[in-house]
Amino acid sequence: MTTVDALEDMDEPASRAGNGLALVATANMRARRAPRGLALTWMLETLMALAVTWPLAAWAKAAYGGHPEGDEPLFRPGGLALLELLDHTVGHVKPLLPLPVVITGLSALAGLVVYGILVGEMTLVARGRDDEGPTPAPLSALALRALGTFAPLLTLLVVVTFLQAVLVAGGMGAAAAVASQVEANLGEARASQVGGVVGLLGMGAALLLGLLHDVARAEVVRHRAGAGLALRRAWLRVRQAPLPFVGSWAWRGVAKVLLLAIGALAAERLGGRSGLPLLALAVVHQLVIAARLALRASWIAVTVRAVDR
Amino acid sequence: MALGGAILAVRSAAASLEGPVLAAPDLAPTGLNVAPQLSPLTAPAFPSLAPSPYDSDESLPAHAERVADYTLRARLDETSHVVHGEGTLTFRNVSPAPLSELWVHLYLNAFKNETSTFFRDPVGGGFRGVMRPKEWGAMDVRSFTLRQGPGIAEGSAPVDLWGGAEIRRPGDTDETDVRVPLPAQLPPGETLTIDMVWDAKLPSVILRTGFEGSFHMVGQWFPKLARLEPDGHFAHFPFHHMAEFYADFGTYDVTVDVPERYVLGASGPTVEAKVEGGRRIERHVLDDVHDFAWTAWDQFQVVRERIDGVDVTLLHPPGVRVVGQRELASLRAALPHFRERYGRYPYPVLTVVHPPEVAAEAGGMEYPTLITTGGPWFGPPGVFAPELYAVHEFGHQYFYGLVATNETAWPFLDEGVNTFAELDALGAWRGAGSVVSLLGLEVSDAALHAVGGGSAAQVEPVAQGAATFANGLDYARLVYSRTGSILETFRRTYGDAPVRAALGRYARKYRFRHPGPDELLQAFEETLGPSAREVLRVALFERGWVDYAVLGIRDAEVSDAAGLFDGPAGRQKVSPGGREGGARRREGWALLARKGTLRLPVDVRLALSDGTSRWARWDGEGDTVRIPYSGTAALVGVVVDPDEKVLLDADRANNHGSPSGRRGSMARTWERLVFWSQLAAEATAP
Repeated sequence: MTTVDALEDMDEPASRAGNGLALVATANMRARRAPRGLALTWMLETLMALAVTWPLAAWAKAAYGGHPEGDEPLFRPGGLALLELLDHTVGHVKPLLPLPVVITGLSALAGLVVYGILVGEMTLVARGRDDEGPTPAPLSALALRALGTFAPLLTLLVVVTFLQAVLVAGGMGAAAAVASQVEANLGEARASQVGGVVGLLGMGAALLLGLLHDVARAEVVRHRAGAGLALRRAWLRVRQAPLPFVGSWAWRGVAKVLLLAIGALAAERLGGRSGLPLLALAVVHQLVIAARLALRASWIAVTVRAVDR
Repeated sequence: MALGGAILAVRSAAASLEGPVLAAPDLAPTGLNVAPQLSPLTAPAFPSLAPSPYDSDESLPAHAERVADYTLRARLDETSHVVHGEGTLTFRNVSPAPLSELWVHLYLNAFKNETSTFFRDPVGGGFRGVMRPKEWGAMDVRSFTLRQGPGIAEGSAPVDLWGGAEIRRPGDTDETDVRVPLPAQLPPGETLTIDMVWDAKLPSVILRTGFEGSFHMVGQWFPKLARLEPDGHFAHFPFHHMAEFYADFGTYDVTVDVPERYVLGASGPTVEAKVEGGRRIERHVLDDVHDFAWTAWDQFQVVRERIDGVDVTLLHPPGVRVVGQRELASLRAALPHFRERYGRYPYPVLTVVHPPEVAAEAGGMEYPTLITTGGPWFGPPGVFAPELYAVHEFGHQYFYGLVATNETAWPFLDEGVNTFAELDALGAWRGAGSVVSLLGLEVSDAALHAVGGGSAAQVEPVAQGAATFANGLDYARLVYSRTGSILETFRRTYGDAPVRAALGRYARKYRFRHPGPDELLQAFEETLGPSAREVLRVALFERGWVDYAVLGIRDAEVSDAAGLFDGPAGRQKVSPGGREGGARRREGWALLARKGTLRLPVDVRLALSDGTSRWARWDGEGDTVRIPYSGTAALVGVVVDPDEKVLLDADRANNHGSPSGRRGSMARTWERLVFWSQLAAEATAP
């Protein structure tokens, strides 16, 4: 049972899809099946970016929109105009600081629904009529299903974020404690370096918890599990085969960093001051964003396939 | 000023929105040509850059006049953190007036208790040393006897001076400024010799001196004679929170005794060194200086390098080697730069002390031939904080060390002039990214100081005593950043050559001397003229500020007058809309304003629709000016100070304008902001 043509052979999860939806074979649960989900994710990121940066951009436009070369002074080597603009902006932007916080929060919440849609699109298809094959699941149906998993996903998000904060803070505290213990023997700088390693362990633990979170989210959406059950199941799955999980997550993380480096190199080479170079740079930047998004989606697909076994 | 046909002179006019109209001396009356290029300001604009003896090191004095010589012995008790000192002060009255008293600084008493002037000063935020020390400090003079001098017959016993010393002023509790009456007047030209014994109890590190664990930074550790001014009065003062130091030149012969395992760094070269009885004892002798400091720590790592003929010793904590190498790299650029600009460095050695982070307050300080830097062991490669630290503190060898101004009365003369020297040196070394060069972002030291100093420019004057600033933040912004920006504005606006000549001559002429603000102003007048001197004076003494602004801009198509016109070629008919076959013309103007009290010349660029520009210069006289334009291309914008020469401009956002409806592109800003925000948004995305 590996193809969507054998729906009648699928086990319980297939029949549970309901709403005229059917599950695809595990091996076919891929990110490339979810173009609409990917597009929605990109839109969400971009809308959030636009909302957060709008006040800054508006302020810059008010200051330099009347310049014959527009914002060119802000990018001049030396940074005088940029520094002055930032210095004059800070006081005025402070009252607006809650805005990006609110937008970030709303974006995180919206992201839970988009996640559900993304996973749904990877895993489900609409049952076709008698003589037709399956078709992409309707977005409305996917959204409805996603709303059904919002609460446990939100619970997971809150709990895991809190635990990650504790791990990072704990790591920093342990780093400071270790550094002060060894300072007398190693000296201040080397003690700080040792402490830094300890702090990195804390961050590493937080990252691993994030990996666990990703698997748990897949459990929630695939099996409609509650937050607690999803976390337990995720822990069991990861514990069974930790290295493949970590490896799969890690290489994608490295690739995402390399993409950033490519973007930086492109900025250096293209310059992107105006006209065609700027357009080219914008395209390169969006390709970097899209590629990073694709890597993230492929990791999500890995977690979905993992919980589907 | 005249710079060929390209310069347009501005006539001062009564304040009016109309403003005077720029007129060129040799242009046709019906039109005004604005030259397409502006000649750079060069020497001919200024009275004289005739050679001066102070342009070369041949004018440098070989030595300072010796006024106060110290022969001292210091023994550090590492457990109690007390430096037991004994020594001799030989002082010559180089003034024309007889002296009946001496004034002695006991700086460490500033940290004795909370009733000192230091702790009572209402400094406010933005400056260091505001925390109470974990351990207090003090300087206790055990003996201060006149061995040779007025009222002492040959062979007679020394006279105790400390018994009659006035340690505190009546009604005051500060003990840093001590009056010591002499038994008889010291005539002009005569010498006295004082033997002194004291104990300097170091505080926990505060404001550049003290101890932390086994780390000791020992500054202002001995009873120090106040500077004798030429008129015979002593420039004495209690130690204020934001003040520094002032003393006479002399020879320092100092023997320092520390536990054997300690590494010692001190002013001046080591002339003797030995280990004896579990103690490390080094003797340092240094001529032509006005202070002496030293440091001792059992964890210092030592790096030695010869840079530009100077033996440089770097002392740094373990694990800070990489940052230490960055500091040395900056000195490899700084030493020759300063030598060329301000004269050769006259001492054979330089010690650079990078204190541990736990004693960070000992960092960022200067003493003759010894500087302290600081900062953590890590630092991004593209953020040049260690370099800035090292170059700034080295610069103080010149401005404070060699040109020994009164740091308490006129802090801008050392900190501010040195800040200019620092940003000039860093700019010459690292270009536009002299402070930050990271991920395509380049920030210069000059820009940083321009923005930092501008925020306090209208609050209080730069040129005032350290103790009279309202708070530490104003002090830092005005004394350091504003002064540096003023001088850098002069360099960019008036030209590198005359400003470099002014400061170079000032530094050479007043080496081993104690100039005041007038001498600095005079140096600028000699190369830049009296009007530039006046601008500098206003900028320093009167909260001088300026804000060039575009008030309006206009551009419209014009046509020739219609009708019948008789000319050499006969009668011509001109229809409304212009002569047949004639090109359309456009006329317009840009109206500029100068707000503030500074009159600095400024460049103006008129941007045209065909991609070209026309330039003009406003000498800053008058409150407004109207720059006319006539040509075939449309006038699409005007920019005042397009090359960012006037760093003192309070608001650059009003330096430009376009005809209504025209907006410059902000696409690049949007693109960058959105890209980076999208990356940040990944944190909350699915």
